[in-house]
Amino acid sequence: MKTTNHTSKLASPAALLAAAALGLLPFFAGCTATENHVIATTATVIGVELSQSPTTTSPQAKLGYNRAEFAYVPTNRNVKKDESSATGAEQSADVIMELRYDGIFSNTGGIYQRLAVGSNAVKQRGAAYMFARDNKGEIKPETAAAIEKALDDGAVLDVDQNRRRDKLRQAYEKTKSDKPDSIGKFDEAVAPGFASFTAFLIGNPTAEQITVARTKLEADADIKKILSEIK
Amino acid sequence: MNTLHKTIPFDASFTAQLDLQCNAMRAAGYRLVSSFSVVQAGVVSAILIFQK
Repeated sequence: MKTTNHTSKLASPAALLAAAALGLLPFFAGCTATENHVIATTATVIGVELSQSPTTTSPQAKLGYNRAEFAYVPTNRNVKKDESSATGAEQSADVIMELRYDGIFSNTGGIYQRLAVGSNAVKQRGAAYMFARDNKGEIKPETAAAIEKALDDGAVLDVDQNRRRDKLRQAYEKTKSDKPDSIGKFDEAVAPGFASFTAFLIGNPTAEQITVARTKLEADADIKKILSEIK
Repeated sequence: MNTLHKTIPFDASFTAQLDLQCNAMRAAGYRLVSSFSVVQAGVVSAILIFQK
């Protein structure tokens, strides 16, 4: 058995960068009793060649950039012990990596990459800040504040809850365009902890809060019809 | 300018989570401006930075 994470569909160039930065392919050798391991790889191929016919003996210009990195990270996880667990490699080495490409042919562009392995690489806040800096070595105060908060809570919304909330989001956008008079219903439907429906969208509502919001929205016939049409 | 973050796991749900989070944040007027990844205790996550 071999399991690989794919990122075949991405929402934005920034998201693509995230996937490139991730570039981590965990392989689980599930058919044997061998210990699992993580393989972290990155690769870049960028090249330009300007040339004329060899018979003219005109000069050629070439620019190339070809590199690859590979890290084999052994872990303590043995799939024979717990095949159902998605984690279990608590003693694996920690890896953080990033690759950024920014117009290498401009005066200010360039390529840079960061790769660090080890517990300190991901546990120390300084490492997170280092990786969040842009190609000029700068970090905006707003970004720094967001990273600080992210490192503190690390809240993750369950994917099933996220899908259920997304149906409400779709209904919200369709209502805004088709039934704008009813849009206020969305603000009224969310739990008191959320100041508005947009706060509900950017927050981490519980499964119950999502269910309650949907129930309240379905009390409106128009919104109920819109919700029923969303697959 | 408001800045928010979202943490999503880099597992089989990664692509779906990426779409869902970006759509939700976009509906609230935010756009994805930065991202980076971390691996802790064998679990890979991506931290997405949004700004409005």
